[in-house]
Amino acid sequence: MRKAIFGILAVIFVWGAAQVTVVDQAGRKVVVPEHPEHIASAFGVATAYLYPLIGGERIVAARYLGIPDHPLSRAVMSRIDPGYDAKALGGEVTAEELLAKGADLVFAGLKHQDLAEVLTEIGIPTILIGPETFEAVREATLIIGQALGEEEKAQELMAFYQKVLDTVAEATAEIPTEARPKVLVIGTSALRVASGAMYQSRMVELAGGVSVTAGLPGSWQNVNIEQILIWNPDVIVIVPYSQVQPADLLADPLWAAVEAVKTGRVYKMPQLLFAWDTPIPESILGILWMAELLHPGRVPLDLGETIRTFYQEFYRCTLSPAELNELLAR
Amino acid sequence: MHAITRRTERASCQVKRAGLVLALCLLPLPILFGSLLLGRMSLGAKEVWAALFGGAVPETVRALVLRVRLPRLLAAALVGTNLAVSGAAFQGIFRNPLVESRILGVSAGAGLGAALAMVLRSGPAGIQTLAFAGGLLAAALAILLGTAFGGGILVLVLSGVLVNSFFSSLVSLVKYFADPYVQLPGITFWLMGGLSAVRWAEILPLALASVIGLGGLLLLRWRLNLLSLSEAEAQALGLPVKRLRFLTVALGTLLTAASVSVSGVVGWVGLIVPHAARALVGPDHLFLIPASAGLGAAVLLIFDDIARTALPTEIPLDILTGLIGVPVFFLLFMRQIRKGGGWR
Repeated sequence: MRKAIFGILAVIFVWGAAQVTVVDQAGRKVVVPEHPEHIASAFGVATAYLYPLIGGERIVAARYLGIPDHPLSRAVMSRIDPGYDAKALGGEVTAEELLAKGADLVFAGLKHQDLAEVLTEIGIPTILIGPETFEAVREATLIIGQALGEEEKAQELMAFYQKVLDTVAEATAEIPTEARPKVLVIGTSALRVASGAMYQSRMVELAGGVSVTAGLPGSWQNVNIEQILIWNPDVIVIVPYSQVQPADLLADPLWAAVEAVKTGRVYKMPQLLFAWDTPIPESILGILWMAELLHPGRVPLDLGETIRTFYQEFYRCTLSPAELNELLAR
Repeated sequence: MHAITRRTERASCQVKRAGLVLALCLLPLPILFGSLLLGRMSLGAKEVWAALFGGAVPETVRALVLRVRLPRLLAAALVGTNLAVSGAAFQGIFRNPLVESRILGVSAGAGLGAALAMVLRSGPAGIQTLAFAGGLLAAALAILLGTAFGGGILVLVLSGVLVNSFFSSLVSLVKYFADPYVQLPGITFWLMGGLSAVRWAEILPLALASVIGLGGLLLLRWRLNLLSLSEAEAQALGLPVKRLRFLTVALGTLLTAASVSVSGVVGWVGLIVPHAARALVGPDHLFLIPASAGLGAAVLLIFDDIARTALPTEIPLDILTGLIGVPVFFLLFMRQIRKGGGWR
């Protein structure tokens, strides 16, 4: 009897040895089961990495970083993962909730260190990511790909990302400083701006613009209208999940003296699934969109075609020409 | 002979005090004009003057002075005045130095209103309206609870504390379920107080409430001295104590709710300024109320100058009032205790 138990334990042990060890972006070593089947994401940014790599089938619970409450977005998301609404996690995600959903591998953000500790103690491996640069997006993709046993897919995704990134960089490299428009990226309210340390500022620079908030540290920052008048941006980009619309700023007498408002160059970034301004693989579409906006026709890539290919290849979702038009017209 | 000297001495002391009160009431004016020159954009006195009085200046400068700085400074002055005056009145009728304008849960109620408005995406006017309504609702609940328990001063303070905690929990609840990327930052920022988004449209209702509240309390200030006697003494003097107390509470609440619905939560001004004013002009409400009004406006104007100019980003007001207000309060308190007077 005893021998039998030992035998079973030995088998489990040998099976258990078929594991993968990854180092996450918090520098933690995480041992992951080889074929995790019940995956959860406690971090909206991480969710945006999971879908292109494994689709929705193995995802049991996730935070959805502002998938817009827009018919087109909801329709496309339902095509990709019909059950996604029921998987959505709200509020502060707890270990118990993830346990109840049967998660055997959890992805979370750098701010979720405590949650990761609890989950690790319960025996659910947890991988933390916190990308804020192009390099870190690449690293996060490869870590997640490795953990999910989808290295090849991750390589493909990053090859696409890198190719567009390089093409844009090459096309904008020679633009002289005086031909680079000053760009301000606005967040959830008109006086809340993306700092110079954020991914959004890297996007602006790569797309051939100058981020007016370059010297500003930290994350989203609240400023007053005088500071915006001092920066006097040539172009204003509003993040897709903002409540602010270009028309609001264009009609506002306080903003009338801002160069971008005078020339009508205030734009809202389009969004289909995850937000293109966040540090996720999909942001490559935001980078190309911004380059087209700042320097039309300069990058030898077709924006619509690139968007279509991206969602086709990585979401197995075919966008109709009408849907593509609607996305870019929004 | 002796009695006459004492009387003239007292009279000259009153005159001196009245002069000090007048100076304190005028103090905000030079600060306001000085503040018009301050900002992230540097404007000269000549440009500001021209913008104010229709001289020839670029349209940007005129908009900056008339549409950005002026409403914001007026809001700072009104909010400072209102919080300080309601704080002084509350400290008087509650006969408690630790009481401030937020004692009846007005801030927490206003916070709940503002948070709900932001979750419902109802814009600046909606935020102001719901915050105002929330503030009034919280105070009304506190007063009702207090009356149900007999209407004494201590029960009213206690029910204020209860309502405050309850509404604070509701605010937390709304924050917990708000969208962490889209709505939560706005709610958090509002709760830290600030005037960066103030416009003329928000000033008008604030000004109206201020005129009513300040006017009422200025007229009532003769009676406030008597109200801060013990209840039995006041009743013996033939005062309708309960009615007067209710009126004072209502006016103070109106002032506080109208203010926080524009500025967000700004602490300490309603606590410290009345104490500072008392240290300057004494505990007589006849002088204390107008002195608090002037000092409150001056103090918040200065705090707001720091908030909007010190860094490229806005510094939330509640952080400044707390960081500077707490040490100042401590110093005042120590001084008063050393003098052995006032607050026992």
